[in-house]
Parts: sequence; C-alpha cells; structure tokens
Amino acid sequence: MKVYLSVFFLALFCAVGVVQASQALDKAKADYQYQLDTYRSAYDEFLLKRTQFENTSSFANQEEMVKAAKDMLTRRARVWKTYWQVLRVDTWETEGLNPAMRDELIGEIDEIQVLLNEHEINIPGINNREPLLAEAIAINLEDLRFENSSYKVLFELEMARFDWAMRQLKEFHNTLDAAIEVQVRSNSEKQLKKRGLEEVISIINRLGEVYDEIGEDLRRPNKTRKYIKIYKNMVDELSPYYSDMIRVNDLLVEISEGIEL
Amino acid sequence: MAQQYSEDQSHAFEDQEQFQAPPELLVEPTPEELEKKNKRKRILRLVGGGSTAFVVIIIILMYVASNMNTNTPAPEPTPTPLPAQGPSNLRKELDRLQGIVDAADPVLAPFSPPPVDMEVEF
Repeated sequence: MKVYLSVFFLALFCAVGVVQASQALDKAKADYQYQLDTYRSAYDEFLLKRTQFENTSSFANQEEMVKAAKDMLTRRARVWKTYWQVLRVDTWETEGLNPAMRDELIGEIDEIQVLLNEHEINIPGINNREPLLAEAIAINLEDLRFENSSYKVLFELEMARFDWAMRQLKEFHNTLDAAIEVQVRSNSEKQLKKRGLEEVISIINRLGEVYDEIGEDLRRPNKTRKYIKIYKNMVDELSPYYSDMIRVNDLLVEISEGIEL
Repeated sequence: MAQQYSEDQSHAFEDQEQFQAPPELLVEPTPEELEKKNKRKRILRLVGGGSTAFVVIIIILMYVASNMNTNTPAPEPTPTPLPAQGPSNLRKELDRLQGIVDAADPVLAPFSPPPVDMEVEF
C-alpha cells in the first residue's frame, strides 16, 4: 500500500512539474512583454524631455531630461533581463538538448544577467548628465554581445528540438512496429502497414544524415562566429527537410489506424 | 389299374379347367411388344443406376468442398467500437508527437532580441 501511495505521489509531482514548467515559460514571456511596453513609454517620454531641453536649455529642463533618461535606462535593463529569463527557462525546458550545451548556455545567460543587474543598480545613484551618458554608452555597446549570445541560444535550441523530434518519431515507429506484430491478424493489412513503416524509417534515416551534415557545417570554427548569420543559415538549410518530418508524422498517424497501444 | 388311373386323370383334368389362367396371359407376346418391354426395362435400369451415381457424386463433391482451402480470405470480424472514455493512449501519444514536430519548425519566428535601439546622446 505504501509503495502504491509513493508511486502515486511521485507521478502527481512529475505531472505538476510538467505543467509548472510550461507555465514558467508563459509567465516569463508575459513579464518580458510588460517590460517592453513600459520601456517604449519611458523612451517616448525621454525623447520628449530631451527635445524640451534642446529647445530651452534650462536647469529644470536638464533635470527633467536626466530623470527621464534614468527611468528609460532602468526599464531598458529590465527588458533585457526579462528577455534572458525567457531564454533561460526555454533552455531548461527544451528536450533533447545536450546537458553540456545546456550548462554552457545557462552559464552565458547568468553572466549577462549579472552585468545587467549591476547596470540597474548603478543608475539610481547617477544624477549628473555626463556620467549617466557614459553609463548609457557602455551598456549600449554590450548590445552586440547580447544579440550574438541570444542567437547562439536560439540556434542551439532549434537544433535540439529538430533532433529530438526525429528521435521521438523513430521511437514511435519502433513501438508501432511491435504493436502491429501483435495486433494485426490479417496478413495483407500487416504487409501494408509494414511497407508504410519502411518508408517512415527510410525518411528518418535520410533526415538524420542531412541533419548531421548541416550541424557539422554550421558548427565549423570560423573567425567571425556571428550567430545571427549561423541561425539564419540553419533556418534556410533545415526548413526544406521539415516537410519530410511532417510527412513522417502523417504516415505514422495513418499507419496507427486500428492499432491500440 | 390303368383304367383306374385314366379315370383318376380324367377327374384331375376336369379340375384343371376351373384354375386355368386368363386367356391373355396364355398368349405369347409379339416381338414388337417384347422389344418395347425390354426397352422400358433398359430405361428404368439406366435411370435408377444414374440416380444412385448422381447422389454418390454429390456426396463426394460435398466432402471435397468442405476440406478444400479456398483463396478467398475469411471475412474480417467487424471491429468493436472503442468505448467513449476520452482519448486513448495512442491518441495522446500522437498528439504529443504532433506538438514536438510543430515546435521543431525552423521557420517559426524566433524569440528575437528586444528592439531596444536607443539614441544615446543627451
């Protein structure tokens, strides 16, 4: 009885964990969207105050402009922070991602988060125009690094998802093959389904070869390592083969007709 | 004795006249009638024998047919409809696979970096 209760609670815990994981990603995305919206309002306000100062360079207008700039920079830092939080959660939840790669990506994200936290802490203490401008320039220069790192994460996550999908389809094919052996009695129907499965495994194997070639090509060391370019190349090269993956999925659904697992 | 015998015989012959067969039976059949009769007999023999053979053949054919493997497959049993208890494990598994395949679409709009370009001069 104790064993059954333990198994029950373990299963319940895992189910709750899965639901919470997808909720965590949704919440992270909602937070990011909120911060992005408030940043846009803050940026518009900053532009307005700057124009007023340019028109009438009074001390009051300068103070207004600096206050608006501080608000804008704070909200901008939060936009980046919530964005990286989305990628962090996605990295944890993406199935099939190599654990070593997951650790590498999480490590990079955490480093960036530390930098952004420092920036957000610094801003309230800066009340003069020139030091504030210096802080703004420094963080603006980091944007290139942030962009490159984000496309690296996106690239690795997409490759992992494609690979995982292929493996899941292959696993389902094997399970279906065994079920057909047991359940289908009519020889003609069995042969028909087996022929379908042969086509499925043939497509999956070809997909696997193409995927390995693309991955090797894209990960080849090069000087620039611009991940925005690598990500776009990946999309261009993988997307034609995605239709094969859909075909495999449709075939498996068709072959599954009349089978119970 | 001989005289007695002949007297006895005459008595016997007198009785005989009472038990005589009807005249038509006593008449010998003509060749045509004989032929017709024989023909009738032959037909009857033929039909009777043929009927027996026919029945025997039918019995043999029935026996052979019951033991023959025909190429026509037995009709498939009508599949029992699934009870209405919600999606089966197979359905759930296929839905899960569908979700995984959809998520693997490389053309899906990525979660791109935020559009936070700013004019840094102030």
